[in-house]
Amino acid sequence: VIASHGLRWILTALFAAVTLLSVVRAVRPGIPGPPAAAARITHVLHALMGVAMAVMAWPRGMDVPAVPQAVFFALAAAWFPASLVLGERRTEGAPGEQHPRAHVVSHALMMGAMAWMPLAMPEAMSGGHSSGSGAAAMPDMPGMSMSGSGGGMSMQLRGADRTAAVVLLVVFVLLGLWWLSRAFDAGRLVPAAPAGARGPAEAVAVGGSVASVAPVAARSLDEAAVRSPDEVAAVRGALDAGCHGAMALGMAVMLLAMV
Amino acid sequence: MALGDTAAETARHKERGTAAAADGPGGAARPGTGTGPGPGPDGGAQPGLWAAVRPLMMRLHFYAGVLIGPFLLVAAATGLLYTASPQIEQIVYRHELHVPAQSPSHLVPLARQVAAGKAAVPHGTLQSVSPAAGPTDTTRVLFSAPGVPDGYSRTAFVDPYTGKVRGVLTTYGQWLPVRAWLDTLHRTLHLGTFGRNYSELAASWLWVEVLGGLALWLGARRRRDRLRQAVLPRLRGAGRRRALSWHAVAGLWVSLGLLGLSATGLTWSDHAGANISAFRAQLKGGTPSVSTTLPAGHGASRTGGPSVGIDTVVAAAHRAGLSGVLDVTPPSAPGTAWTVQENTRHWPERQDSVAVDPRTGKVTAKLRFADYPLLAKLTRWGIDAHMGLLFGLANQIALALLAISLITMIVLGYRMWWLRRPTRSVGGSFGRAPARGAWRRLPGRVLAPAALFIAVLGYYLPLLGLPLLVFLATDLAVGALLRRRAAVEVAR
Repeated sequence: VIASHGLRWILTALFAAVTLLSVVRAVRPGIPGPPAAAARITHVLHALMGVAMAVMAWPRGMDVPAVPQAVFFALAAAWFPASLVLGERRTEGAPGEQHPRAHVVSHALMMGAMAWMPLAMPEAMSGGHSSGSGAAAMPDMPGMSMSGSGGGMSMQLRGADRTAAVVLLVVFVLLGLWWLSRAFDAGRLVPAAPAGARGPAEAVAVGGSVASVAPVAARSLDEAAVRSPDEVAAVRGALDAGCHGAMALGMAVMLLAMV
Repeated sequence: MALGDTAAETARHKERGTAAAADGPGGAARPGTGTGPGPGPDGGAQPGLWAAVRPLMMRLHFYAGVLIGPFLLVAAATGLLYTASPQIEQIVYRHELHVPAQSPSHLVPLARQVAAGKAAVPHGTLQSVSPAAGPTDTTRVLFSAPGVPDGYSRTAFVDPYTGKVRGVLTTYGQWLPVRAWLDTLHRTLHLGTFGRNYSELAASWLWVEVLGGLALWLGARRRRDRLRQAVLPRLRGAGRRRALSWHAVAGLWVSLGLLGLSATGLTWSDHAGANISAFRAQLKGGTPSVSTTLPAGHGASRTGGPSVGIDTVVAAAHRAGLSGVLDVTPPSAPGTAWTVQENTRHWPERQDSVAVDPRTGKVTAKLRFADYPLLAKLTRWGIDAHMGLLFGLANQIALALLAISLITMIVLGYRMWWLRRPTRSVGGSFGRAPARGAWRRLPGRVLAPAALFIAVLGYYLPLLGLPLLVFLATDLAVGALLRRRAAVEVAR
C-alpha cells in the first residue's frame, strides 16, 4: 500500500501503461512460429503482474487474498527458467538481442518478488503507523504554512523481511536501470525520419546490434510513413525494455514503501 | 511557440544532407558513429562525455528559458518591487509606526496598551502583542477578527507613552498593508492558492536554468583569454555574441544568489514545500518551538487562578535574556504558558523564545536559537535573506541587484532568440531552436540513471516534473508529426 495519494496514482498509471502494452504484445507478439506461444505467455504474465502491482498500491488491495497471488506468481517465476529448459531461448526481444538468459533471470526475479510481497505486506502494515495530513506550519512566517500531500497508512517491515526487502530494492533499482539503459539504446536505433528522407544508406551499430536500413528512392506515402521491419523491431525492443525497466523501478518503489 | 520552429529545423537538416551522417535528419548523432561517447567504428579518439551532453543541455536551457522565462520575469519584477517595501512602509505608515521619543519612565503599562487595542478592535480575539522595541516605536496588538482573511490580523498600533491607539490596520504577520499586497503579488499574483503555482514553477526551474547555464558557459570552448571571457562581459561588438556574453557573465556572478532564491522559494512553496518540510522533519531539521506545557506540580496554574499579567510575562522574558523585537503570545488554552519570542529578523541569532507560567510569572521553558538543528537555522537564515530581512538594507540592495540581473538575463535571453530568427524567409518566424534528438548522442548507461534522477526530482518538485512531462509528450508528438511530414515529402 502506498500512503501518498499522488505516488499511488503515478504508480497506478505506470502499471496500467505496462499492462496495456503487455496485453497488446500478447495479442501481437511479433514473432512467427512456435516461439510466439511462449512469448504470449510471457506477455500475459507481465500484464497480470502489472494489474497485481497496481492493485497492491491501493488500500483495498489488501483485501485480495495473498496466498493465491503468491502461488500464482511463484509458478510464474518458475515458468521463465522452464521456458529456457524447454528450448524457448528467444521468448521475446528485438532482433539482435543477445541476452535472453539475463532476461529470464530478471523476469523470474520480478515474479518471485511478486510472490513474496503479498505475503510480507500484512506484516509490514502491522509494523507501520497511521500518518496524518503532514501539515506543518512555519511560525512567524506569513504565508508559509505547508500542507502535506500524503496521508493514510504506512508500512514498515522488521527483521529478516526488512533485510530481504532492502536487498530486493537494490536489485530492482539496478535491474530497472539496466532495462532502461537497454531501452534508451534501443530507442537510439530508431531513425528519427523516414528512410527516404535519410542518406542513401545508413548502418547503425550499438553494442553489437546492427540494424541496416535499405535505401528507398521512391515509395508511396503509406510505405514511407510506415516503419520498416527493422525499425518496428527497434521500437518494439525499446518499448519492451522500457516496460521492464518501469516495472522493476515501480517494484523498487513498492519495496521502498515497505522498509 | 518554440516547438513550432520545426520548419527551420527541417530546413537546416536538409542543408546538412547526407554529409553529416552523425547528425542525421533528426539533428542528432547516430549512436556509435563517432560523435557519441561510445567507441566509434573507426576506433579513433572520441570526444568526451561533455561533447555529447552539451547539445541536450543546450536544448533544455533553451526551452526552459523560453517557456518558463515569463514566470521568472514576473517573479523577478514583483520581487524587485518587494525589496523596496520596508522603506515604502515606513513612509506610508509613519503615523501608525512611530511616536516622538520620551523618557522610559513615561511608558504606560503594557496591559493598558493591550486594553486600548482591544477597545479599538471590539470583536477581535487577542493573537499576540509586539511591545515597542525602540523609543520611537509603537506597540502592535494583533487580533483575529470576523471578516479578516485567513492569515491576516487586525492590528492596533498603540502609543506606548499615552496608551492611545494611533491606528488600526489589516496586517499579514508583521507586514503592513502595502508590503502585504506586494508580498502576495510576488507569491500568488493575488490569485489565491492557484496563483502560488506560478512562483513555485519559477522557483522549481530557476536552479535548472542557473546550473545549466553555468555548465554551458564554463564548458564553452574558448581559444584565448579563457578566464577573462568567462568572467567579464564583451564590451565591443554587437549582436548575439555580445548579448550572450552579458547574459552568461551576469548569470555567472549572480548564480549563487539565484540558487539561494530558488532553494528558499521552494521551501515555502505549496507542493514542493510540503515535501521539503517532510524531508526536514525526517532529518530532524524541522523548526522547533518552545513547549507551552506547564511542568508537573504547577497545580494552581493548571486549574486556574489569577494571571500575573502581560507586563510580568515580558519582564520575565527580559530577565531570561530576551531583547529587541518581541512577540508575546497569550496561552492558547487554559493550563498552558505564555510564549515570548525574539523576532529581530535582521540579526541571525536573535530568535530565542521562552514559555512563561501565567500564574507565577516564572519561565518554564527556554528554546535558544543556538540550539536549533543546523537545517532549521539554515532554513531560517535562507528565508530571512530571501525576504530581505537579514542584515537589513544590505540584504535589500543585494536582492534588488539579483532581481535586476535576472530581468536583464531573461530579456537578453529572448533577444538572443530573436537574433537567431531567419531573416531571409518571408513572413514572421521564430528564432532557431536547438536540434531535436540530442539525447541520441548519449548512451543508455548515462541516460538511464539521469532519467531516474529526474523522475525522482520531478516527483518531489511537481512543478518541475509535470511541465517536463508535458514538454516531452509534446516533443514526441511534434517528432511524430515531423516524421509524417517528411514521409509526405519522400512520397512526392
